[in-house]
Amino acid sequence: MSIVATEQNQSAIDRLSKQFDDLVGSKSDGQESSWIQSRRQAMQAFIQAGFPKKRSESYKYTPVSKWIEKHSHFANEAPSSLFAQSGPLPPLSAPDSKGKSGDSQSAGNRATKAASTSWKSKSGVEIHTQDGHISGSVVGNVPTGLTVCSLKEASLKHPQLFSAYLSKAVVLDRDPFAALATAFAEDGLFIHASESVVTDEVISIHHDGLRSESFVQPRVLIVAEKGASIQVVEHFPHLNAGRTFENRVAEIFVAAEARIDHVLMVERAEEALFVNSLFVYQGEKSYFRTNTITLGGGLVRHNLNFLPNAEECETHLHGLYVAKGYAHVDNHTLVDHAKPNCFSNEMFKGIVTDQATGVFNGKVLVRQDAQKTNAYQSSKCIVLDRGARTYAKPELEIYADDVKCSHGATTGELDEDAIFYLRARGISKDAAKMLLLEAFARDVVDLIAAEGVRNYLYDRLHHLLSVTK
Amino acid sequence: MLEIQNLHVSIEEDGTEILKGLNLKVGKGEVHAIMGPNGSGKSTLASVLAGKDGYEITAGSVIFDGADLLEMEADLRAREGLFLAFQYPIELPGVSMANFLKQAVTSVREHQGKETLSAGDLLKLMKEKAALVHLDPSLKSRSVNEGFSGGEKKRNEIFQLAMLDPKFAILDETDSGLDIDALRIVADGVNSLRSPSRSFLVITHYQRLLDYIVPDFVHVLMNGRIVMTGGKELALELEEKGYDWIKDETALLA
Amino acid sequence: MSDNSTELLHQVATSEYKYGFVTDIESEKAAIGLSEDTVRFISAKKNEPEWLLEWRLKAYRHFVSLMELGETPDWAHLRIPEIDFQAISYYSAPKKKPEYESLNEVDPELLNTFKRLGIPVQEQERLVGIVVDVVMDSVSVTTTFNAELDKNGIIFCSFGEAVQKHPELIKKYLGRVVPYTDNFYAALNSAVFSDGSFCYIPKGVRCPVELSTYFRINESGTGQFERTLIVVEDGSYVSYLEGCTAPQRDENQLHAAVVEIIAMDDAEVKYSTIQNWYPGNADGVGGIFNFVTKRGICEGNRSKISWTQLETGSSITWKYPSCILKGDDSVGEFYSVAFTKGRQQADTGTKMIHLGKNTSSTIISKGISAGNSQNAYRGLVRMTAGAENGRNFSQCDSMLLGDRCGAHTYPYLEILNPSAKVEHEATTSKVGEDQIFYCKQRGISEIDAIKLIVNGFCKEILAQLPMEFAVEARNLLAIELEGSVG
Repeated sequence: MSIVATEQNQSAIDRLSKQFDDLVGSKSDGQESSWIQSRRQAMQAFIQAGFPKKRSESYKYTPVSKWIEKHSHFANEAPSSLFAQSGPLPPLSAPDSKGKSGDSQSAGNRATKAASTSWKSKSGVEIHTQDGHISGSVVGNVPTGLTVCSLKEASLKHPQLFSAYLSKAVVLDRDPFAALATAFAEDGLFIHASESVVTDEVISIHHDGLRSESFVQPRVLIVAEKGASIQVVEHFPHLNAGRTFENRVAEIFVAAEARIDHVLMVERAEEALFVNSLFVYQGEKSYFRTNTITLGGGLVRHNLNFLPNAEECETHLHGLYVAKGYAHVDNHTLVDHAKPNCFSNEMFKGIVTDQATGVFNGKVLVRQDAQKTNAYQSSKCIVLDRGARTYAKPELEIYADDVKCSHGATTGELDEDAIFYLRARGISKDAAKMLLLEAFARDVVDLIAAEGVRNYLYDRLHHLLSVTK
Repeated sequence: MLEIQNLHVSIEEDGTEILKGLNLKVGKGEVHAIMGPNGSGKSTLASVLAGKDGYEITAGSVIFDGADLLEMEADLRAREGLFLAFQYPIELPGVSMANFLKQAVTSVREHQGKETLSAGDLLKLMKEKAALVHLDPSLKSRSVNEGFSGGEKKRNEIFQLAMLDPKFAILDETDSGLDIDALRIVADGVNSLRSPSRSFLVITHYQRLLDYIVPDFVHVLMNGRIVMTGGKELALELEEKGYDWIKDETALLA
Repeated sequence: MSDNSTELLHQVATSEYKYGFVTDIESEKAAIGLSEDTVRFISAKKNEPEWLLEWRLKAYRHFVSLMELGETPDWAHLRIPEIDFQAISYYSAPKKKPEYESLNEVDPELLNTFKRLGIPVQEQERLVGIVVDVVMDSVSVTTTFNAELDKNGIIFCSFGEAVQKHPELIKKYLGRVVPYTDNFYAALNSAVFSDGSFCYIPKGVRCPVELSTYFRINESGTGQFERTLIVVEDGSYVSYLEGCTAPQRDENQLHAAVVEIIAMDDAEVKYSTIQNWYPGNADGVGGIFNFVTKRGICEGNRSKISWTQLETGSSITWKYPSCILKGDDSVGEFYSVAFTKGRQQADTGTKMIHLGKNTSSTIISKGISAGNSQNAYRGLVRMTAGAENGRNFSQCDSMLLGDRCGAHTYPYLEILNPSAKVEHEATTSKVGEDQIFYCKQRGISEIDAIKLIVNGFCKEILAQLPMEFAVEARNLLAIELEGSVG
């Protein structure tokens, strides 16, 4: 079995390698842009590493090779299909709140929405993507000093910014998926806030177009220059698109005294393979917060990397996942404290039911120079069913002595005493469980700044959890 | 016993000046009270006298029993007979009171050329002194301040004062967080330790402690300086009129 | 902390290793190198039955296959220099195999060794009732006699002797908890182990004395590969202690031991270790590689295995005393203090494998790092699908003394049963400045204050040690701290 998987993986790597050559040429002609050069480097890094092996420590609890095998069709796709040019554009308006399965607008190989809903903020900037590329135009009033466009456009209109930031935060040898996505990054999304641009308007990105059975490697680059402040919400709603494989990389730069509030919601279908690599780079006195919410998807792996690379950075890292059916949700985080006087706070919560698996691996690394670091991490997981499993690996790696670091991890059932207390007040057992589960999950959702997103998630959680029990 | 002249102290980290030319002279056997509003520098004064890190002395001098106090490390000050009863006593998990006091008492007595106490004598002394502040003798096997109630912590400070037999004791807001019964116990303990050879500096925000520990002198510390000095009746006046009255008064003087 | 104390903390690894003497006893060593012949040589020396030789050879072949695949364990947070397994002598024994009627007949050099180790054999036997087995290099050299053990039917002897006298027990239990396929070093040990201790407590016996083994590597160029097997029958209890020391040498010496414990219904085993192998000098030259596999199985219902360790020695420590909680309501415990200084590296912790219903485990680990050392806790808690109502609580605290060392925590929590509850907490900090100031204000010097606070930090672990050992442990820790903080 494992040998077969390995062979399958190897042939997938070979085919990907060929696709890459077809895409950018097998040899450099010496005139390539730095972008192409860096992609070539990334491809090399990927070929060297291959897909994570079964015994790889960082994929110890997440059998990627099995999934790659299951999704091996992805490497057969003609490279041209990686582009967004083909296929009709998706509707620009958000689908109605209930979302109808088998939407009449479905055409060709474009996927349609399933029972999932979407959320919509009252104002702000709205972007939709098709296969990882901006589709249609940006909706809403884009404040002055804020740029929202495709990476291609950015490379032409803002070449300096483009080359200053793209692929500068990604660490190629940390994870082969990030390397692969970097190699195949044909285009993507560029969001840039100039110095001191402060806006309360939410920039919402709806990744709601995806062809069936497609393999896409979208890229996102978000930059807040000195003193700027923005909110970005990314949503990957449920789509009836079958065995899709999304391997995306997002790079986020938070310059000195800047602030970015980031939310990511994944609700893909149960056959979907979704890998999200996030690299966040922070400047002095900057503030970054992310809420990574996973409510759907077959195999979901988040690689969240944080490098507060200057003094007095503040980093908040919250996550919530509800894993049902045979889903496998893996949150893998690294907070790499390199400079003194920084603060980081990490909180992940999970609810795992049916035959699903939840994995949390969080590492706090405090380097020798990072004196006076305060780093906290907590992981809490509730297991509801026999057959459901959870793995937690919270790690502290500390090389500086004047620090305060701690982590805690708990796993267990719902508190029986709490259930009893509620029942003693006349609440039914199921209702009591529901109440407690929702309360457990809301802790994370409450920390999201955008009210529209919070309300959307409260609804989704209520729906998901009431189906659960 | 203690003479402070023109003491200027800033916080090392950000340079904020807390004490701005403080003068104070405490004679042998005298009890001085320092009162003042929040943020006037009372606790800084206590910390600086005890030798805590994190403060920069930019000017001035402190002579303790003829020696330059500011030149000494914190443990040497303690051995020379300066005691600080902490406003917030520190917890030492896993360190038993018996072991802690054995080391402290031995260090201090050795330095002062007194004979070392045998384990038996030390335990006897602990029992005797614990009774002064109504502490249960079983405390010897408890970890220092860990799991102690607020009142126990304060009584523990006075107990240690009794054990170490200092020449000069600073009580930093020893009354804070105490109910009236605990306050009386602490004050009785302190009063029983008053002697012609021991001086006290009692730092407090409220007058009520001074009903029990009656001072010879009362000083008002404001904005880093002693702005008024009087007898015990000054405390009562402050209780009645508050600190604003002095602000006006000193403003007039200035 | 003041600069003064930081400076003090930097003077790490300067303390003298007081066990660094060499005992001048004539010994017999196997030729250097590892082959089937080495295995046969050792087995022949020990006059072993055929089945044991076969078992060793299987282990050897497995080890060779792992070598060929390059499957040395590499997941620990350790930098392990490549070990040349062909450059080690796998057997060394004092030339005259001692058969003592009483301690008076013992080679005075040996007795002197014990004295310098701080084990007054006679004294301990007489006053405390500890029964001591001493394993020097690879061979058990003396087991002090205790009539009371005999009376109770307790077997406590060298492993070699047990193979001769109780082959049925050895055959039944050897490799039962740690099979030779378990890991790289267990395979090596199974192939070349030369002696160790065997302990058997029959049904319903509460062992009246502490059983104790002192391990000593003496010869240069040798490795030590001892094996300990403890079997405790229904309703019985034993407390077992081990201590380890070695001479100061410029070379790295390999210690790859295996300990197996089997606890039947209602049985309880308390296993305590004070590990003080030579840690190498301040620059990291020399020292023991301590790669040890220790595991117990709570085979019976309501059984309990408790590991307590004070790890202060060895250049590299790779050690995870573990419990397989198979019996219902069985209990596993792991209490550890690991202190590293100089260039020491430690990656130590435990595994708690919950199989039975209502099983519970507790892990309390205290790591103290000083100098340029790296100190890691690594622990696995696995609640298998059948571990109904399993409970685990883990607390791992690290303390850093100085700014050039590292303290790391790597817990693995695997929960496959919804009724199981697992709680893990970990903190990392340095000795609090306010705590040091408080002590200084009471006249206690900075160094004494640090010692006091660190000792307090370890107190709950040291309290788990049997009384006689606890004193030794505190003294050892005080000496180690002395070297680390000035």
